[in-house]
Amino acid sequence: MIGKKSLVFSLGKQEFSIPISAVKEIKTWSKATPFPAAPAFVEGVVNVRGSVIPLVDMARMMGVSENSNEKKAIIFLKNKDKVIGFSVSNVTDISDLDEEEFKPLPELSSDDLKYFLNGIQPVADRLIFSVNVDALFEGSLQ
Amino acid sequence: MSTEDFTDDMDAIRLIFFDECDEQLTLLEEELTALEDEPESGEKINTIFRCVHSIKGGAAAFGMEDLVRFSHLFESVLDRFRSGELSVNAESIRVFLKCKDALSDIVSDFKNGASTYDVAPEITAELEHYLGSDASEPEPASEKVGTEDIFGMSFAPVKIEIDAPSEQQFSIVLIVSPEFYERGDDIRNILMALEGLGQIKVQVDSDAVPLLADISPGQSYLTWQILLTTEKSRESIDEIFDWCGDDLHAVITSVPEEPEQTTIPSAPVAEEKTDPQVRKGAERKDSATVRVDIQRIDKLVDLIGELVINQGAIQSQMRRNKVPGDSFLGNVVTAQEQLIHELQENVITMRAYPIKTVFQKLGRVVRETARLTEKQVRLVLEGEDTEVDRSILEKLSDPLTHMVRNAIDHGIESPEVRAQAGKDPEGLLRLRAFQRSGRIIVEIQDDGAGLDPDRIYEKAVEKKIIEKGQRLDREEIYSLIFEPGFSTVAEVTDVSGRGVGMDVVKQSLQQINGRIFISSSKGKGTIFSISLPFTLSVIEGIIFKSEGQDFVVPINNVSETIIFDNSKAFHIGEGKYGYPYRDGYLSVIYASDLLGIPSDKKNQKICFVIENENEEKMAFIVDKIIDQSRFVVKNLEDNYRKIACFSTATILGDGNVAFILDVEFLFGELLKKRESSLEERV
Repeated sequence: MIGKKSLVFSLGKQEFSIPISAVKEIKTWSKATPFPAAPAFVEGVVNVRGSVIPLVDMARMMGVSENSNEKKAIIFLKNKDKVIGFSVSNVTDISDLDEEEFKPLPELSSDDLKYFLNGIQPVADRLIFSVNVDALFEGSLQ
Repeated sequence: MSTEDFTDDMDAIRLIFFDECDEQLTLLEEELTALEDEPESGEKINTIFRCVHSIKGGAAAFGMEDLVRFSHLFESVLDRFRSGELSVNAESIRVFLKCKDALSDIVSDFKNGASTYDVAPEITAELEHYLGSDASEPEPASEKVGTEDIFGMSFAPVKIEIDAPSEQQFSIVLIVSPEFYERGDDIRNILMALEGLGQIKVQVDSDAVPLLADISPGQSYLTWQILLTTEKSRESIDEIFDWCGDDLHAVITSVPEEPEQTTIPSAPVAEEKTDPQVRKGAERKDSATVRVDIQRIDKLVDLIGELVINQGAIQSQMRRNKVPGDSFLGNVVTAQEQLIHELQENVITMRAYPIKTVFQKLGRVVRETARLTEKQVRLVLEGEDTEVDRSILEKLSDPLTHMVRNAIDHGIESPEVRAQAGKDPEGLLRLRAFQRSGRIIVEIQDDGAGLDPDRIYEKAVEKKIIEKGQRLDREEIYSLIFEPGFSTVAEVTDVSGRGVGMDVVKQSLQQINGRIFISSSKGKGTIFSISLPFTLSVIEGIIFKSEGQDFVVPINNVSETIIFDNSKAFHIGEGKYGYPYRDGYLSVIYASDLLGIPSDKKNQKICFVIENENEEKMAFIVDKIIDQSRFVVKNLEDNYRKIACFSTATILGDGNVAFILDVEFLFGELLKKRESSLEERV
């Protein structure tokens, strides 16, 4: 059952979800150490108990930057032995979202969104976007 | 090789071999059990085959003939299953497991000092049953495993009496060929090694030495007569001489009980020593080693790294609270810092391994490559005891194998060509390892044809690596061989020349922070020298501040630190400056420019004279120096990717990350810029 649980978080006003199995840790946002020639969406690197981990501004990378200036949390995700931190506006809750229930994005969504998202699911009066972890890592490592 | 450890070394390698056997046997068992569930699995059969094969290979190197014979038989049977000629069923798995047990028995007997083992005939019969009529078929694997050691000398088994009397006497007559000395060896090494076995009496026979006028300096006139009293077996004596090859002729005879002093003529005894080390040596063997999973040591290294970081945190907190260094707390913390550093050094050396573990594998590569290319090659190993961190060593094996193959395939000429050129038909390949200013240097030297710059240039043009007419100096041309897709040999050979050669070598060396340099002279040979860090986990560095951010520069790259006087800097181009240094001028790099931080450069008061491997220098300007210390290296690629100018980072006492400057990369980048601006002008 744990595999089906999703972590719901927000970027600005929009809510997103990620399978909880990919989440390694959640921390309060802190400033990263910047480095030269980094892509604009990479804030720098942070130290998490002795590991140096890149910090990526998720909203900026996915191109949903409106209202996303406030960054309160970092979600550390693990994928293929690499750990990357993603700064998000807030972590909302953990809920049971069924991957099957996600509907495809509308045709005219931006290429970035289509690349990073699996689909949309309505939950009560909310609309939740499912984030593709593989795409997130691929995008971050470019 | 250090002489005192002569015999111990052999024992150490033996122990490693047995440890590896145990690993292979465990794996073998696992796979065989798993095979019961999946009898069709070709992959499992392959693994099983490889296990048996590697035991056989090791056994051959140590001349354990019975082990070789049995594992060879087992392997031949497995090969039939592997190739699909026979299929696995419950019965065959039963036989395999039986054989595995027999193999374990043989290994454990040899480990306990036996030199022969008779396998139960029914097991052999069961195996031979699978082979059918042609049980005596040749080697199943393509390569031949002989009872030959990597130096090309025989390791044929020596029958010894297991219940040998506790003390025996041997008379040894040493006849030394001049080559022995030419190799830089010393008879004293042999004597010392013998002394390690027991009590020796040595006598020099100088009768053959002519009058001074008639002495030819290249000749060897002396012979030695040695009477050795030892508890060790004849085999241990042979081991010592096995290392010397044919350059040293030793006649060893066992002296019967009640030794007569007459075996040694009554001439004065030149040297007599009882060795207090003998007992110690025996004990040392017993205390042996503890084999620890490398991951546990890695974990230990990591934890100590954390400890170092925490220590830094305590110290920075103390500074902030203005705790005086000479207070009780200050003293305790300083003492603790030293303890932690010592601990760290010790743990890191636990991970260090003599490079010989890699070198010795290459012996076989040399033999096989020489055979395939029909060349004659003599391999000389130097500095095999140089210790390298295991993590580096593991990644060194593949590139070195490739380079050795290349050196024989492309470097050393065929015997006929060499003879025509007036060279010894036998080519020389020298592998040498040594330490130089905190780094490990590994050299691969051949006395072959050398690199031909013209040919490399042509090839590079042909392969579109460079433009025709591009002006390159010799070093730049040599370095073209590291370009992807470069291969000078027209036909693809079995040995090398698949076009995935030196670029892969260079890349894999870069992963372990290694640099490679070439020096070559046409007709005389080539030296590839690889410079490696001793460890990848810790560096000595200087931490500095630039525009409020902390950075570390490795101390190896800093040749000098001077006060920077901005008024002496002069303009040498757009955004470029020069600065006087000694009797010349250096290019200036401002840290803030490198980092892309806009700065009025007013705070920049310190100049590091940084230097790369090629001893090129630059003035690197920063705001201020904070400290010199040791830093735990964190690889950025673990969780991210390569970053320009910084290959690694460290974690400071306050928990912040500081990047470690990659000076080689920096020079590389700036040189690239220089080239591109040259191209723009053209």
